[in-house]
Amino acid sequence: MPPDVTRGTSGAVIPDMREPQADGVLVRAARRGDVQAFAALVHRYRDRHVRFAIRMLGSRDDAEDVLQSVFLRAYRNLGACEEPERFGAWLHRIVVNECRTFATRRGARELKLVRDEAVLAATIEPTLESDPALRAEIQRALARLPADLREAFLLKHVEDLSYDEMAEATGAGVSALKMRVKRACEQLRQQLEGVVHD
Amino acid sequence: MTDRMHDDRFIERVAEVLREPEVLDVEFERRVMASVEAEAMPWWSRARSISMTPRRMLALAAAFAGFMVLGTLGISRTVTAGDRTAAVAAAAVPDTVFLVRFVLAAPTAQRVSLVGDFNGWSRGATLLEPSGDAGVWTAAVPLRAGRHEYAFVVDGEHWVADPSALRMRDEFGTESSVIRVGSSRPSDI
Repeated sequence: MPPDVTRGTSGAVIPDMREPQADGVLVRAARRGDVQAFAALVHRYRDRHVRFAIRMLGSRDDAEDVLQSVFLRAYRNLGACEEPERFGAWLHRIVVNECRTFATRRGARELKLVRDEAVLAATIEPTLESDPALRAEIQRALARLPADLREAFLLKHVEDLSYDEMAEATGAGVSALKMRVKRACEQLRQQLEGVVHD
Repeated sequence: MTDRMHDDRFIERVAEVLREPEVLDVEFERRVMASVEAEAMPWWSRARSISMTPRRMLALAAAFAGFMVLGTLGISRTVTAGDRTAAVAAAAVPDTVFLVRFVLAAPTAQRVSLVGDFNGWSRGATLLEPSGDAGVWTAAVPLRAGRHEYAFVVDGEHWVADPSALRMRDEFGTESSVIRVGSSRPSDI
């Protein structure tokens, strides 16, 4: 887990060397007006959720916009987080909904299959270990999936959520989610046959 | 090897690539926390959308500079909604507020207001004023860096997307406009 952060007087984000606090402690502190506690939550969850948003939306810039909106919405609605200890699950639900809303708004106007190799390479950071061409093919195949299948596949196989957790995040039933994951796997296999070697 | 095992290994290989981490830079947290801190501020020190003539806005900007010590807000420059070149040229500076001038030509209008995510889509929050040119209405609004959605409301009932800016249609079919303030990346607009 990354270190928590606090904000210095100059506005710089600096590591907090104290023992990491539990989500519930931070949520309750943030509700009392402790902005630094919320900064620690942002730091704790940002990378995980930006990965999901980038994979869902196919654009790092869009993902950053969505995530900024997610955290602001979460802050405004901290009072509605009924189980502060499960802040992560609550935040996941907001991320899923914001990605859906953004994708809907973006809609047909910008609906695109990303074909440009340079764009695809930039979507997944070049510091990563896998082969860039393989990453591009996988991202392209993912972008071709219907949004509900893409969402289910990512939550199950990338975010490693249980079906119950997925149901909580998406509002869909477990059996429907299992079907979406199955269909996503089938479609990915069709698209990536001969590209991904197991 | 069974088909099931083969499938599992295939999916695991795909997921392995997609699980590779994505790292956001420090600027992201700065932007988020600037928004959060603005929310946490008492109401009298928050950035607010205001409507006034460009001349009065410039005077306010000059006066505002004298109060910089009281807060983290900085007025950087004025850009015009719909003018992509101007918006892109503005450098992205954390905690900076940009003056964005919204302009609509509506010769027969009696009243024009600006609604957007920055003023809660409130029809009464930001009124445009007639400019020197007949039928042209303007308002200069301080906006934080980032993407903003907006539209004009003419005579309190006609919803009009900005004809000079990028448009989007929401899930209910309503058109509004999009501006990205303070971006140095043309692809962001």
